[in-house]
Amino acid sequence: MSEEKPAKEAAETKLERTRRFGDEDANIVIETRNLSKVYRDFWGRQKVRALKALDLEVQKGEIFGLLGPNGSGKSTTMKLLLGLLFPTGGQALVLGKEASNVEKNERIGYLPEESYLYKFLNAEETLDFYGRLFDMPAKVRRDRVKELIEKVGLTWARRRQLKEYSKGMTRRIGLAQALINDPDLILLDEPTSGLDPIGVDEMKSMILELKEQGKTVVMCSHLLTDVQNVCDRIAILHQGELKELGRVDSLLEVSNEVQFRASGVNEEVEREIRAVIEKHNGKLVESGKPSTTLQELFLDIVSESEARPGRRVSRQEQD
Amino acid sequence: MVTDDSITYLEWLYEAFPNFIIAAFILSLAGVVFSYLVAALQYGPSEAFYFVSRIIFQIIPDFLRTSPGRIFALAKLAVQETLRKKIIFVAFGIFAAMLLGGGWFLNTNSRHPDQVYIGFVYFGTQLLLGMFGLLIATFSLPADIKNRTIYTVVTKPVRSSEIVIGRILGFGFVGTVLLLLIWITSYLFVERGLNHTHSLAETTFTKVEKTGESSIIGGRVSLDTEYEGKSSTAGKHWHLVEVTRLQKVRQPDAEGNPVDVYIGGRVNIQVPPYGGHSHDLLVNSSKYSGPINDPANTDIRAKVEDQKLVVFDVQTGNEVPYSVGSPTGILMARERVQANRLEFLDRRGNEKDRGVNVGNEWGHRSYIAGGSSSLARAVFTFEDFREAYFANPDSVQLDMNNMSVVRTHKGDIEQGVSGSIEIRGVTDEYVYQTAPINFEANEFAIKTLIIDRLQKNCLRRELVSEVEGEEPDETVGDYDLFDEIGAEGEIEIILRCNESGQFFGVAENDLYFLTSEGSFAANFAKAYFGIWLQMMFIVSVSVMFSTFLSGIVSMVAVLSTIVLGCFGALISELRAGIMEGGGPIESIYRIYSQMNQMTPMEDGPAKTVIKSLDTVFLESVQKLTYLVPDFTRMDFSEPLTTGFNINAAPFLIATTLGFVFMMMTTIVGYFILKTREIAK
Repeated sequence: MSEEKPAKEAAETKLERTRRFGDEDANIVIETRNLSKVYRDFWGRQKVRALKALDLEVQKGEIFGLLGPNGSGKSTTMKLLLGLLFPTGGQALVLGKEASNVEKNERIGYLPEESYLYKFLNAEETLDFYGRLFDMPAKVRRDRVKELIEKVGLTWARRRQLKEYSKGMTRRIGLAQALINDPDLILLDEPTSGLDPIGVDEMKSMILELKEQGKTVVMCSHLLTDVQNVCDRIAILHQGELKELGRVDSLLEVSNEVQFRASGVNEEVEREIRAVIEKHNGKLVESGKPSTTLQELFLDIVSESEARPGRRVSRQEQD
Repeated sequence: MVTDDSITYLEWLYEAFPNFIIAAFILSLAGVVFSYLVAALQYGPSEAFYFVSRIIFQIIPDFLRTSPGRIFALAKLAVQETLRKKIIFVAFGIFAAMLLGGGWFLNTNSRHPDQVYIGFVYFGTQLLLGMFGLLIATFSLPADIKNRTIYTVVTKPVRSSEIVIGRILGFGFVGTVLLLLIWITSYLFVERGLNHTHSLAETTFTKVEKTGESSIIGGRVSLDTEYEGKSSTAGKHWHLVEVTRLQKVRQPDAEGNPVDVYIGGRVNIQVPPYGGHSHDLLVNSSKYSGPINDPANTDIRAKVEDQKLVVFDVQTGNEVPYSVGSPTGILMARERVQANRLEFLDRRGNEKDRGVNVGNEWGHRSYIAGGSSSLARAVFTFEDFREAYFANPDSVQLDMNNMSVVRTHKGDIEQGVSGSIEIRGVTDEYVYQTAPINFEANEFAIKTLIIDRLQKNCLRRELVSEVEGEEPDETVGDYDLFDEIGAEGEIEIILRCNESGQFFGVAENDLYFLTSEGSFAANFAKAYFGIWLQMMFIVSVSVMFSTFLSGIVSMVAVLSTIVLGCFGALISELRAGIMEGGGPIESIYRIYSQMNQMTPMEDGPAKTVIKSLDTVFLESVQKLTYLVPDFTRMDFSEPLTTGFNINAAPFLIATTLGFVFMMMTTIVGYFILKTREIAK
């Protein structure tokens, strides 16, 4: 386990203080202590222990990732933080308030996994509806709806009912509804699920943009590259237990190896480098030509195609 | 016994309020204990205590912070859902199709076509609105929970109370719009379906051959009738038209000078042989316009020339145009003063709660035996009998509505059974009793008596209470119905049957005074407001159940609630033993053993077991009925179809019941939604 996990005593003090005085640590947005959830059947018998004594802190302004395979407890954690489930044990504080407290929702935005929206509404009506739930004044609501529809690129489809939307479009309007109140904390459940590579890239850009605006983002995903690219810190859950917690870069760092990447190196230089490593008793683990990712290749081709429509884009040409 | 119909709103409130508070308290306590037990299973006893108490303390702040804006948003969403799914259009389409079918099949050729028409549209609306409210409200929230669309709502600053109220108001609004459409359509359907007129242009009038007897219908006509004819057919019926003999007589005027006065020359358009409505013959001259038979009209008269009807001005001899007016005696909203108590005297004059049972164990009427030697009487007490209630206090109208007549011998079947009433009033000093007012009663027909304000040959007896042995002073004279006989605001109507071997059967509501005529359109609206209350109650109960049950289970729960609401009174009667036949176990036993309801069961262990099981069952069901409103109180079909005005008291009682139970279901729905986990 990471050294970042707070000591139990310290956590108790913080929680107790928050509960007694109602204040909020300016830098802690989410705090859980011994948070547990047991699912039971109709007769109260234990069916599954979905979450076991989770201790967690999420700092203001960071992008925090909850990772884990299916059934690891990440969605349960998200639902507990949102107050959709009640904890069997332990506590969860969100923005200094109990997770079950409705008032915390004033500053929260939530994008559920499947963008559960009312299919009989169109994009404008959807955002107007959610805006009304925040008691936003009509003028502010209208401006915000327009701004968000433009931001997620759905201006052309703003009058179409959501039942006519593709999955990608539904995710976009889902994100827009999560941002309608300009929230401080955004919870994203599998934000890139069902999106094409362009959509994934745009979603990641939007998440990073939110971070630049000082928002805190908590996302759960099992698509590891998405998390790696955008998250500052991650927690890895397995079978309802916290297995790892820390900064992405430090967790992924291989401390006993060094990697160089250079261009304009001929074979002679390469031989010299190998010799230097051997001279100092080092071991060359790998060398060769690096390859790009398939996602990068796809995005390059699409952007080239959009710039020069009607022409086939070849890899050689791009190089 | 005071009937529910005669109870005032404040009396009802005084009785109902404590019961409601007790029921609400027990329900709240049961809810808290149930929630604690469920929570204890999930979180353990101590966490459960914290959980439940936290929610209890949040109830008031939650309701105080309820936002009208959010409620409006959620209500609008419910409206959009119903409109976009086109449910309202389907519902109205079904109603329109129902009216089209009804227009073909409804029988206007009946004694009360208005009752047929109104009953049809009213029951149809009740059924349709009830189903509409049930279907839209029970499936919506469970579908939201199942599709998880509720996740995006409850993760906004939305309180459970706002979700419940928003849905009730939203679905209620759509139901209200549908009801308004149906109400307007129904009114037009009834009005246009029943409003008709006849023509006399083609009518051939013939002289009545035998005085008082019609050769057209073979029945009786007025003794003054000189000519008779058949109107044109409209609405599958025609009317017998009588023209009375026109005579010019010389009478002294107010100053004693002889003047010529016309009598007769009036036109009576009779009700059809099967009963129902009649029409007025309307005239329109420079002197007078209105019904020809209006006493204020002195100069416009009718006569028959060349077998055709001629209406003319007796002063100038000029003909006056005439037409047959709209039906009278249908689509009414009559005001009435009803009896507060009905008591009986048996043949020997002893007081009884009920009269004689003539064999129909399900009938709610009690019978009095006739005959000169029988002292059997039915005594109706009117506790609030005042002149101010009557539009025309000089001659008040007493209706005996559907009074049952049972003959043990045929007698003269052409003749009704003879009976009489006497009016009795008691003041501080005297007891008044009018002379018998005789009448003939026919089986299940309204008998109307016109009672003069000045009662002649009325007996007045002095009340002697303190001085023993003193003979009371008795005088016979003319006394005022309101100022003397009913000076204390209370009178008794004493009903007797004069013929030996015949019986009159009466219930409390069978005898009443008609006071004035109200607006049928307003009455129609009031009755439909009752349907609105029923629909809103169904919507709110549906939303309440749908906060914790799936759609189909919610529907079953709502239907069970409605059944409890409809049969609460029946269950009370069964439990109290007023209804014969016993509870469900006893009924099954009686069916199995082919024993009728009136036969007493044999004493023994079987009877003890059956009665005990029934008592436990009926007691339990009775307790449940306290938690749902009496659904029948919101049903105004009876006064509407029978042409009586819906009075303020039942209207206010229904409104109060509806709103209080809507509030209750909102609170219960809030509490359940607050304590349940939205996600799975």
